[in-house]
Amino acid sequence: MPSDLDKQIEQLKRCEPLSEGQVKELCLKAREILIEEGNVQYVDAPVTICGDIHGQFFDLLELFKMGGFCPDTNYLFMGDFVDRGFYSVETFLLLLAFKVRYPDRITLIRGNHESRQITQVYGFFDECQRKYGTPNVWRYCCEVFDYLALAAIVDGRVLCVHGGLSPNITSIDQIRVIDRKQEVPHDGPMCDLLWSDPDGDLIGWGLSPRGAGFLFGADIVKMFTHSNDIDLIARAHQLAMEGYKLMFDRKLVTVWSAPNYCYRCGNVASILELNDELQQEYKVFQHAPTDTRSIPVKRPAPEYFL
Amino acid sequence: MPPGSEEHEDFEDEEGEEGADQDDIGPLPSRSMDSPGSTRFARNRKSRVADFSAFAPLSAAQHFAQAFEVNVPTRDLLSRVYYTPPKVNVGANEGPGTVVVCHHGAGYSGLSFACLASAVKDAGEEELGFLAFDARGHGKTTLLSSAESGEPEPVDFSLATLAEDLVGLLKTVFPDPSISPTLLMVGHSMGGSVVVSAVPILLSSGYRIVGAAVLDVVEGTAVEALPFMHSFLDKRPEGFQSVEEAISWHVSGNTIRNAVSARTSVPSTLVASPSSDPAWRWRTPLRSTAPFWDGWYGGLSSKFLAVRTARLLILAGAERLDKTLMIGQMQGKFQLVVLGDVGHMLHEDDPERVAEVLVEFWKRNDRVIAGIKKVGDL
Repeated sequence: MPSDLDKQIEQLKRCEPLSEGQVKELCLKAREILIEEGNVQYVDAPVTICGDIHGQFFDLLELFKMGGFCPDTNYLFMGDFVDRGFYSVETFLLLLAFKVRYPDRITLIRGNHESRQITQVYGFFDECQRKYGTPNVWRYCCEVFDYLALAAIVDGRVLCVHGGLSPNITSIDQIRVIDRKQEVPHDGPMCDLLWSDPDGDLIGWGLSPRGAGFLFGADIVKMFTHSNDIDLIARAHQLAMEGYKLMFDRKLVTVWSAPNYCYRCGNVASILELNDELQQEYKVFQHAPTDTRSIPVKRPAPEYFL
Repeated sequence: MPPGSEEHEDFEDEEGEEGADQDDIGPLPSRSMDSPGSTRFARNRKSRVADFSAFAPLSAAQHFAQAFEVNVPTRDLLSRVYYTPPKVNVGANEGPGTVVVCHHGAGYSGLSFACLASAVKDAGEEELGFLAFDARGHGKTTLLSSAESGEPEPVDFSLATLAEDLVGLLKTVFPDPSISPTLLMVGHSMGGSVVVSAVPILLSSGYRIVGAAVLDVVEGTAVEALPFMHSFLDKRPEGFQSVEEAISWHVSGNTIRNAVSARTSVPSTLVASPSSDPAWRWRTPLRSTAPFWDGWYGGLSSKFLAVRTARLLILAGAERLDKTLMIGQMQGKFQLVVLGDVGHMLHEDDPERVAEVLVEFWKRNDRVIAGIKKVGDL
């Protein structure tokens, strides 16, 4: 007989949101699980690594159709579940329900959009308010965000993080000692892990044009992978038009999992499957067929612009 | 050799004349202070007597250290400039400092940034200087040739002309790029486009630019909105019976959501009309700028992403990026700040918050951290 949680998962798979009470309970259970995880969560291969989703629920279903559903496939999502797309609530709650139901078959780490401040600008707050009439669901979810791991390491060889490296972090052990249970700070190592980007033209470190985090060059990645004895840094955070982008002698990869980002960028998406031997296979996928449900048509009124 | 070393002396001269500055900096022609709206009261229907006492013009003198005219013969311009120099530090931090340079949008004037100037002064602990000016065809800026001939000013509001005007003005005010203050370039609406076009020219002339900030304009949304601009303009009155009425129109219609700023900025967007009805008309006939609209915004997004300095976009109300900027943002190419509870005139509506964002942007991109390159230096 299916448990309540199984029923909720089926409901969410149909893109039907949970009640506020159900969300509250789910978020409490999720926190109990996440609090036990380290800042750098250990993950065993084989695992399928995914990048930004941004509330594109029907595209997440495409991802699962290609990669297999949880728990058949072991998943690692590198953050940015919410904002910009129109189904952040259903997207995050489905992933969270999987986490609570199959804690060892899915790993969720935090992206820069899993933050109170960012979600108030880019849509998740408004979506919760619109769908529930109160900001409570947003509040419960934000409390979960504070407990998400900052990074994960697959078989000790592949470091997964949403953004990238920090000039204040030279060893993975330094990530382990961060006090992560807080809103994403404006600067410092925790902020950098969620905000930084690689830059193929840069040697060393640069300020990020984003206004938070840093840019890092090939030399930094070479040094970091060497001194931490890892093969690869997998990260998300940047739109890759081809779905993924390998850089720096294949020591770093950007994985992007939101096809046709924001319903108009025209990009494909990908997932990275690591097998038992940590061999990489990139699977590219397209956005879900255009469906009137997936793209509410709402043109803002023209404004004065001179 | 940059032009206008002579004009630079005008600047020095005016700097010395405190009293003259005080007069010059105030609202447009002193007539604006005449019997506030008395004719208007008579005209109003008895049931709706307007009280404009809350909309009296305010002087901008408290917001800037100086106001002066800069002669830029290469651009045929007699430019009206409002300026507060940066507080130059002594000792380790000694240097020419940084000046925020602001270009207003179409139809407005340099005084649109008056309240922002004070807010930047407070937020930046006086370390930042501030320069705002009236673009050609706006505010108190005039064309040298028309002043001489008495002919009406020819209409050229093309982007290239406006960008060259800005470059020409800065080269006159700060003739030697090697000792010029660092510039933080800010443009609102059309002015954002001008700034984005001027930055590459200034950089190639050797000026140090710490960043380019664009206020509330996005190519995609602006181009989409352009066909509606004529109907927006149709809804504007052709003129006003008094300056107070004009200020009231801006405030009560929510065009400017800050009465103090409107009382400071609106007078310079008006000129006394030769006819008495209306007594005041717009300084800039916006309809005549229509042939230039497409040119202002075409290609803005990709040009913005390509400027070799730190890039900041501040949007009012909601995040509405076009495809180019959306991709650019998600590839980490610029900083986006969205301010709530403000309209298109965000720097007037909430100068304190805009100042905070600008000062933070400046601090982040200006500070020197050992081993960390700045945006644009690769």
